[in-house]
Amino acid sequence: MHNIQAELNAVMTTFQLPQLHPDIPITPTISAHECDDSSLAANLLKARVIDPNDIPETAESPIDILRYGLQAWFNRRSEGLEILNFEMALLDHQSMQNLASTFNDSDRKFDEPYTLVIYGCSEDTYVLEARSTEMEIAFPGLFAVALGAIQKASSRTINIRTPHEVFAQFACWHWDGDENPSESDARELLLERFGETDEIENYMPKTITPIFGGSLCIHYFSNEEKRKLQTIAGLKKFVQQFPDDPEAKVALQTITLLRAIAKADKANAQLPDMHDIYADSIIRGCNLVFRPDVRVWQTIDSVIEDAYNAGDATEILGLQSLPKGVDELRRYFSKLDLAFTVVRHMDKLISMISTKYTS
Amino acid sequence: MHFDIKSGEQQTQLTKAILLYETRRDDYSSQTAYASLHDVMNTGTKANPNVQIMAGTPITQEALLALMGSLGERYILNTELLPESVLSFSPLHLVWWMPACKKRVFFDNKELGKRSAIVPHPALLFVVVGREWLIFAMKGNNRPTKNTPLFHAPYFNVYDNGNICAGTAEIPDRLSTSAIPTWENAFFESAFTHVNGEIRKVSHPKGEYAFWKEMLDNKYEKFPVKFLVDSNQTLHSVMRSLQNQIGRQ
Repeated sequence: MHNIQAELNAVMTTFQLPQLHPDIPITPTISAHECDDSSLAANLLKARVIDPNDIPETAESPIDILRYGLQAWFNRRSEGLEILNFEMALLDHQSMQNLASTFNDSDRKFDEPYTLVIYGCSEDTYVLEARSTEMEIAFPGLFAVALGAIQKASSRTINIRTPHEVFAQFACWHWDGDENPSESDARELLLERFGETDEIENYMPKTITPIFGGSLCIHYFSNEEKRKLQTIAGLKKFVQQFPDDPEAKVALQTITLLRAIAKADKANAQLPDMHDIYADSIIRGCNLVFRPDVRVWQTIDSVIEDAYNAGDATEILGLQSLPKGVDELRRYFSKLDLAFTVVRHMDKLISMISTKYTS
Repeated sequence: MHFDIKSGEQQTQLTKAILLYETRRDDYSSQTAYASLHDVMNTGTKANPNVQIMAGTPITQEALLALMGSLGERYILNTELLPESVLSFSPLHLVWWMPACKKRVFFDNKELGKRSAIVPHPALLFVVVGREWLIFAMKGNNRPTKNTPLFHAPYFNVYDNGNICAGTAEIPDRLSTSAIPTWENAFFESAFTHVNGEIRKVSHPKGEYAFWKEMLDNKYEKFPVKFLVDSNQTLHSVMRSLQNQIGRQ
């Protein structure tokens, strides 16, 4: 062995090894064989999802066609959004596998070549209390119905953080999950937790419930008057009764949003969601809070911290495999179009019933 | 709204070649006798490339480690001697126990104020895996076995699943048995600021704050293990979920 080594060492200092055979790739690209960018681009053009007029002459590859064409499609549908922040991305098979490996215990398989993903980005916070007071004075129940419509729209499109969601988490941590405990039950639970201290008063229902919106944001389905308003007919009646009132614009926008939701529901249309993905979306389309308060911020911060600690935190708001065929793509994007209509009306309604929070 | 296309494509570059030299054993078999590692370089121009395998060096242990280092984990070879406290260790995880002892703790919150005292602690189990850092308590004071029942660590800043809320604590940036004292110091030298999660971590009748007030007032000579709350886990179940977690990485 040592003789061979010595000989070879000597040889290597005097001889140059031969040139590589030209068939040996020097700079190979490793890519997923499942993806065929040209077929997808061609099918999206045939399905008239991508408009050839949106593709500049500088476009050189199928990826360029997909990038310019889909950017234009999404731009048209997200134009004018003031409140909701999110980004869309098309991930190829390998990129999706990399992403899926970050999810814990996911039941979803991503075997299709392409996946459409919604990412949350830099959520802003909007405060509801001031406008809710004005709306409730004008038309009792209108605020709760508008908020209910927004929640309905959000569950089908862009996930937002609502006062009720944060309140439910608060109740889980401090009141054993009971969202409507008696003062004595709450006191008993808080005593067990904090011991005998004045701090308890800061977490009693009579202090907390108004901060999270009380009957307007938390128990809004319990009020008979508000239930009547939940139908479009009920809202229209309100608009007819008080046509000159500025709150009528809110009522009209609520009607428009509810109609868009109904149309989307009928077509089974919604944006990609997190179904079967065990991950917590920590950045939402926006935060809606009833009253800016340290206990609200504490709860939101703890929810996010919990998600990070559990390894469940994700910036993704939804994801869905893209179909392949021309007809399937046409149907898929036509449903996305309906869902984006809901997004635009939801965005407008949020802007009408809230004010942006600035610290 | 921004739209992006994310591709998993990776552009690679041929940079090295390994050449194997074989000796012939007989007419039917051969044996690798020597291996060398070579750079691959373009000795021509961009327009007229002349890519060649350059002069190489015999493959040494260092060269092999360097190669593996670029392909995989940094810590493939570990020559540390394992201390008695270590229960399980790999490049991806570290599990150790700390016998019952007295150590100083720090509190900084509204209910207890800023306080510090040397107090007794139960035997503890620490688990570090990926970015997670967990702690459990034990009633006995022996090296745990697979069926040893684990209890919630009776401290603030610990989540229901045992996860430690590290906050601003300075924790080691790599897994190593020699870093165990640093992990333990990071836990005990950070101030406990708030309770976490839904589960009460001690069964003291007056609650967690009252319990720690008594501890800080030095009411107990030994840690009162009767107040520990069962986590319904054993060392075996924790190791099994650890195995699942590492398997996913």
